[in-house]
Amino acid sequence: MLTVVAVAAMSIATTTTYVITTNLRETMSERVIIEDLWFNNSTGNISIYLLNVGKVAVHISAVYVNHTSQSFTSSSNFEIGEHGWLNISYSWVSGSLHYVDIVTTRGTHVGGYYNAP
Amino acid sequence: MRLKHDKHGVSNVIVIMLSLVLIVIIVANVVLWSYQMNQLDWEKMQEDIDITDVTPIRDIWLYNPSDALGGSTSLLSGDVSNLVSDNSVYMIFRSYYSGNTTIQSIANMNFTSGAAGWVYGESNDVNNFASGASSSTGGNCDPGCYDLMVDDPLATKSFDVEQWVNYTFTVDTIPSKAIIYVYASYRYTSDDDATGTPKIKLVRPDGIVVDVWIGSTVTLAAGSDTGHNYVSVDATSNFTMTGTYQLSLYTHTDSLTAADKATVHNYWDDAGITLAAPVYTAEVEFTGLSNIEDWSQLKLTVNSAWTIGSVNVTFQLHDYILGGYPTSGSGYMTYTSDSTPNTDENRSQTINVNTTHFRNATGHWKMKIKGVKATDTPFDFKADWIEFRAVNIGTVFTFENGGPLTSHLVSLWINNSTSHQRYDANIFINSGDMESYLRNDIMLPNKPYTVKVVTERGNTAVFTSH
Repeated sequence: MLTVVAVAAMSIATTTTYVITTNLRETMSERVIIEDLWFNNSTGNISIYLLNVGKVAVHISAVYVNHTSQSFTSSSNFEIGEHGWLNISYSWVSGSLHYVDIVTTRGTHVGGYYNAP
Repeated sequence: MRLKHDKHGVSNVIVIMLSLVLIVIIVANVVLWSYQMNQLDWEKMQEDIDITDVTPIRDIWLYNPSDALGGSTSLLSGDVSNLVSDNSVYMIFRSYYSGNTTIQSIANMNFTSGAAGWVYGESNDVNNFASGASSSTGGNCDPGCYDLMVDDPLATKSFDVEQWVNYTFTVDTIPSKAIIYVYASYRYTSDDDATGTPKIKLVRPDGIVVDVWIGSTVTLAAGSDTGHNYVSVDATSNFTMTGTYQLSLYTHTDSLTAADKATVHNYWDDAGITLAAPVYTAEVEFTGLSNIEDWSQLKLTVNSAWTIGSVNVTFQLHDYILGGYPTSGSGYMTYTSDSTPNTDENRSQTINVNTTHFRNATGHWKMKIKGVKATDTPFDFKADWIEFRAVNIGTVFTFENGGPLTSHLVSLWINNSTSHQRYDANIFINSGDMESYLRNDIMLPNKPYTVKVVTERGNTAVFTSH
């Protein structure tokens, strides 16, 4: 009886470990870069071109400009090696420094300070 | 008691062993993943790519024909030296008679699936024996036809009836030298003695009815079948005006003896009008010699005039990969010339893909210009300027890899204040190498602009114009 309990407990432990380590591996494998950031004069928006250079697909969960969450359009899923535009509706100010922070669902941050022309 | 202790011992051993296995797996995986990603990050840090130069290129080569081959088209005056500029000094060619064009005025001429457009008529059918309808049998070539039938079921009655089926059509234009044919195919069958006389009639716009063709009276007997007889008549003299005409397929059928109770079918098929007008054609092939450089663009320009209005013109540039003159797409252009004779017109086509298909291995090219017009008299083609313009445009980028690893460049950006344009790239540069990269599809914008290149590992290099 004790052997059965022990095996069952270890199975649960194994499953839990698998789930946890998978999440850990995916989090460790995320790499996203900003290929280009464009303060678009014609639309008044900020357009960001992202490239997934990591080992797992990423999902963009939030975009912050100057620490304020912003809505964005275009695809938020990027498979391995996939790239594309992310358009942020934000009234940027010419000549000002803007801090852009893009966050994935696994908590990876990519961004930096960008000077609007 | 001892057995119980042994069971506890086995459980403990299993738990400990599995725990150890789990711990080892977790630790090993974490170390492995950490190593892999650290290696990725380390390689990214080691990468050192640089854009050392960005140079726009623009080479243009202009060529004119060195020879002109007229074929049946005759050269009236001038030579290829007149084709180098748009100066109203022409090389002139005379067109030749190349046949007739035909205009079919009759739709549903074969009665293939009915008699739409045709209207039945009859006279002198005192006993109501006559009828007319499309028939799915009895046709010429295909089964469909029109059946003018007389069916006498009474031994005490005879018939002597006229029947016809008419088609109304409009003639909008009649060229002065037009030749107009009226044609049809007819057939008689009968199960007893009778006679039939076929005719093709024409009702003109002025109301006059003309028998354009009168057939011989056919004597029929039991089991008679004449088979189909094709008739074609030159009816040019009857088309003296434009307007609405009627083509009438007619038969006069007469029973010889009342007691015979004859049933006669008169089948008509393949009826129509051919309006044929003479066509003149001017066709000239020009040849020239170019170079064998890389071309990103090819532009053909022709400035010419025609001594008659509204000529259907075709330009074709010989495709050496296709092995002939194209009939659509690149290297093919058609238009109708100006309705005013002797109007100079400039026509050009720019080809951006497969430009080198239009020259051979030694740089020779050739083109054909053809003008066709339905007209009574020859006309002239006046070639003023023909130019074959080959262009190589684009941008040469020079990259330098100063890092210890091979770099894979995956994208190029050309940015200025109004545009951020990304181009896919696939360039590998070995450690310490400098590489030149030509892109014919990239035209640099006005300065200032920024060129950026992105590597597969996620590094970027930027070049700013001065």
